[in-house]
Amino acid sequence: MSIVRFTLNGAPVSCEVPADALLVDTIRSAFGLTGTKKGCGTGDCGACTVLIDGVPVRSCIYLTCMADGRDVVTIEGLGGPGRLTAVQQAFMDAGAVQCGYCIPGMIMVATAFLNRNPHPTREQARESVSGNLCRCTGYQKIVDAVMLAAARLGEEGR
Amino acid sequence: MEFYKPSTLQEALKLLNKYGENALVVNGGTDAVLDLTEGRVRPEAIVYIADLPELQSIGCEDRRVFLGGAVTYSRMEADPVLSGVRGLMECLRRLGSPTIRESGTAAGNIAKGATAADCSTMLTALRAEIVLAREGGQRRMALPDVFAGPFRTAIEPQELITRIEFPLPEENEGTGFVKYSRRRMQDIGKILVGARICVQGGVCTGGTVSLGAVNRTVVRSLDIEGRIAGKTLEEIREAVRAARPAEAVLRDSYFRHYKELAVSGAVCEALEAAWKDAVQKGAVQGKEAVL
Amino acid sequence: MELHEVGKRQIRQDALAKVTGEAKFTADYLAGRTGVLIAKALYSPYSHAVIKNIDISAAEALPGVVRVITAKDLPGRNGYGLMKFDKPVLAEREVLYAGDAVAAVAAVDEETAKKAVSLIKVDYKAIPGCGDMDLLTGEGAPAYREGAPSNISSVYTLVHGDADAAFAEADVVLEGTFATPTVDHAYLEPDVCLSEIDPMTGGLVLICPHHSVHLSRRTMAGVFGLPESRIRVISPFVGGGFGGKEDSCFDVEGICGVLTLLTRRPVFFELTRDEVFRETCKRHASKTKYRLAADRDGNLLGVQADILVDKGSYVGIDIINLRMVTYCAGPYRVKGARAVGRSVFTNKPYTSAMRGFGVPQIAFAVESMMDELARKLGKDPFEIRLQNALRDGEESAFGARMHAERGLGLPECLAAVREKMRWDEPLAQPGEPHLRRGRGIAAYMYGTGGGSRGEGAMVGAQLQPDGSLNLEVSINELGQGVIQVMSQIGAETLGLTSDRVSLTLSDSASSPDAGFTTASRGTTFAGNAVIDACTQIRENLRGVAARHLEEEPEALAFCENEVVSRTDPEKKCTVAQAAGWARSDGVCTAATGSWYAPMSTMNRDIQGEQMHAFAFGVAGVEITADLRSGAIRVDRAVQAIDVGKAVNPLQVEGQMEGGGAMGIGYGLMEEHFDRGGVLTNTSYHEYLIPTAMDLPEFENVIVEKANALGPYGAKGVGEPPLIGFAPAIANAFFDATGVRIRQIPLTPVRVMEALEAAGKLGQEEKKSGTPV
Repeated sequence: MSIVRFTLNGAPVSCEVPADALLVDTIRSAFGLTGTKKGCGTGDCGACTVLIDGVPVRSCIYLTCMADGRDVVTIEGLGGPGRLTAVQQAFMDAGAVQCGYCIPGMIMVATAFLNRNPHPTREQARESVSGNLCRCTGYQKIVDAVMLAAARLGEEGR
Repeated sequence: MEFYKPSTLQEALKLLNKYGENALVVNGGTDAVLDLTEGRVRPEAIVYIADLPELQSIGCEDRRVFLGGAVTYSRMEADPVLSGVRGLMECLRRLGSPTIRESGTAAGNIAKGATAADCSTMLTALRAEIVLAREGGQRRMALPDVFAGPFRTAIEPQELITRIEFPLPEENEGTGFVKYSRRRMQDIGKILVGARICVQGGVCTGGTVSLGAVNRTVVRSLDIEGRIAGKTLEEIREAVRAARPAEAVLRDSYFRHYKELAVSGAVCEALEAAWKDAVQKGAVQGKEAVL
Repeated sequence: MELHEVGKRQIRQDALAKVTGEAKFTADYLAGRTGVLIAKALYSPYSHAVIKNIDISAAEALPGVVRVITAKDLPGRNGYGLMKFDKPVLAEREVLYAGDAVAAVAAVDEETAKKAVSLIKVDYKAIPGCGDMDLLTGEGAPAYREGAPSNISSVYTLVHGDADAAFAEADVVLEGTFATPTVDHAYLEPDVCLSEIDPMTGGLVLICPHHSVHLSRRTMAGVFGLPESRIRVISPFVGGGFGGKEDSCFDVEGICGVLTLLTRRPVFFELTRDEVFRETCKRHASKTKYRLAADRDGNLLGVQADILVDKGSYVGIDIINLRMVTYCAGPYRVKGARAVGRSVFTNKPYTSAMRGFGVPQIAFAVESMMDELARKLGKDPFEIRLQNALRDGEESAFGARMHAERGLGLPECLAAVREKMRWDEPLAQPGEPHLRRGRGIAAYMYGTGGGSRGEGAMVGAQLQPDGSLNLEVSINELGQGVIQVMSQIGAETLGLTSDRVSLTLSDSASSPDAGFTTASRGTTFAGNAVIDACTQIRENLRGVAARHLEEEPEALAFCENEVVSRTDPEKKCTVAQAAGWARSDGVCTAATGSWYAPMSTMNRDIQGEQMHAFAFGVAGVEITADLRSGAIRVDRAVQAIDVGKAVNPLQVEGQMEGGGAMGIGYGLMEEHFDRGGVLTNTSYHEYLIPTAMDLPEFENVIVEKANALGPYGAKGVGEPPLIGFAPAIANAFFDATGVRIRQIPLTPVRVMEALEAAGKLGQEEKKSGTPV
């Protein structure tokens, strides 16, 4: 067992876990944050994506111990009702949400992408979510949402 | 099972020396952690090396490109020197997915020894060498000598890949990479080809061609390399079409006939991409373009 | 009629919870709970075997294991299924596919449960399993099950007019054999169940994502040995269903509920992704021998079809062959049709509903043949479909009368797609000699509703004293947007704004049976029932308000949360005020609403009125085929669908895009492989569904030819978008290369092999640029 200390959604936390504990399981059960989903457990679908030091990571193939000393952000750490981020709001407004299972992972990936590429082309936006599987939307309105968020963030920036 | 995060390379090598085969080296984790969760490995110790300071650098020295054993694919994509190596960039663009590339490493790809290893295939065509360190010493090995069999390498359990190096492509050298797969993202390649060729006076004066997913390991195709020397692009196409590469030794599988039918086309395509790269670089340098 | 809520692109109410992570799916209900046992099951590795012995002693002895069960421990019926109770909760003597559960464990945590499963020793006598439909129907076929009198599960024969005569008088007869694969729903949320003893009734509470809480209740009652009234089934948000969770839910509910009954503890049972792929139901694979007869002007005269579908190992849903023969002539008129559809048992996973329900399979044959017919006669593919399209008053091949007042929008769909694709301009070819571009279309019709006798929906509605409305609708929120659609319909009917409407969803304790969440029926059936319930409440309020406002009841209009007199706008009140008056006047403000489709009929020749209304659609694609790699890229995907009325156009587009994506996956990359019936690709990196890079921008046209029997004119749109894309892609491939492929998916493997067979390999280096 190891004691792991990291920042979770802005707050310092610690937990004691076995060496092979997976971050997705620790987030969901030890910390009760169920917004991060487990769709496959093999790193194929992206539903488990969180941000670690600002970078998207598949938490189902990431050991909790690897998070020691790092900054972990889950969907709950982005924004809640009344204080949504531009990306969250855009996903709502663009009609990008259907069943919702892939959405937290999509939002995390889009958030990191726009932080790095604030003025993407539509093709770049599409590629940014191409590692996350969605079975409901055909991705179109998800790409719409990324572009909408980029446009709005661009407006704010002025 | 113990989890270790050594803070220096020497500490890491000490651990590997202690645990040997019973250690699992975890870098980005995209392969190693999956091996763990699916029960393919049952280590006594996990040695986490992603933050080792000695393994982070990317650069170019004496016309040799080097990258550390913990450099991720996304850092490679963003690097100004590496982003000029077109074949490598094309390889990374089709590798995994954007999120996977944030964690995955070229060293990890080599150490896994998969038959359909994208990055290892391109690095083989680039004539890459790896530096393997252990407690008390280090050695060098050229790709593809590293690859011993499907998911088997010549890397000892006590060793870590600390550095990958390859000669910086010359002014008239172009690189190309082709991946034939069933899907455009997050798919294992059915045919992988890497090419690095020199174009001078309208002919290919020599080069390196590598193949992945068509043999037990990633291989160099000396057969194709021999066929293309001294030829124009049109002659190269003809020479490649004449017969499948000798090194495409296919095992019985659902994809076998597909690979037989498509491998020559893939080799053509990779060579065309490398030729185009050479010519464009030459054009940028002010040299004549011959296609 | 001016509409205020229906027809608006409103943001769905559940989007907020889903973008913040607050939305809970079934597995999320486990967080924070203690004392819940974790269940795992042991599945047969063999596709066919006899069980000689099961030794659970080592598993039972493992610390942390609370209960290990085999068939002999079951408290009730060891059998369930949507149509027949033939699938065992735990196999007793014989396993029929590599996914039959043989034993199950409940333990204190997941690791212990997995370990315990690995300690269960099963002594199997393996029998060669068979996944090949042809072998199982041929001479000397192996029996899929010991002692099975036949491998055939069901046969349906459609007879319409005189097919033989039609073929005899034809100028053109075309034939072909078409094959479609075993396909996976591949929803992102794995099958899962959380069950516990109901503290009030001593019965069971099951939380499980699926397609009908009432279906689960009545199917599993016998398994649990409990009366239906003491089983409560709740379906929270479903992370994708597509028809699959309709009966794969039983696979988790059975084991989970039984373990709860035996341990008296809450139990959580979630399948791994590998288990979802290996164990749960699939789309029927099919093989269709199709013949088409036409006159020299391109008028269809007759069709004949000999259809075989893969039933897998249990009956599951066994009317896919029925649906395929039903639509054997697509949306066209024919003088004669004869189609035989057989379903054959195999040692593969049982097959059930998947989006499209047999129509994607038959449409692949029909629309490929229509393309061949057009080319043979030198006719335009749009024209030939238009001339044969069923018109008002005509009878379909399955004996259904077409009603213009229920929307017959195929002509509009054809025109819209033709225009958007600029069909009259030639398609430019790329410069590279190894690339070829092509384009193709496909048309289809698809009924709204399941076609079962007495099909209908019941819903509840309660107007609250503050003027907000609760609707009790048991249609599950799979992502299709039923919550928002019902809110808009209910709001429109009662004169509210949709933000004042909330749904209490999918809880058998509170929502009456609205029927299955399938068959593209939710909007129409539940929507009409919501209109009925809300109309009752509105009319009650009308009387109350009229009295208090001293106005004629007929003069009152309900709009924007207010009740206003049309003749004297000063006479008005809020809905809340009216609700308050109703309360003190002793007038009811709750209602049960219902709607039943015109009675479904079908005789032995599959002639009758199965569904009351049909959606019509056309899909068109432009593709680039790479003759070196065999890869096909869809450059454009255009579609027009007659949905009657788009209650929420934003959501209708979402269905068109998502269904279209599934259709493109069906045409290009989705298929299960098996070895003797054992599926070999059971992960998301071996069973391929499209990523964002595999799909183009969808160009959608919503056509609205109102359904007089639908809520504000609506028909169903959940399934139709999937149907046209696979045949359109095959037709486009022919356009590009001159090679006809009659098996989907058109993977690079199939493309290269087809090019080789046609002698067209090695042509890609031809620099002349002449079309291949």
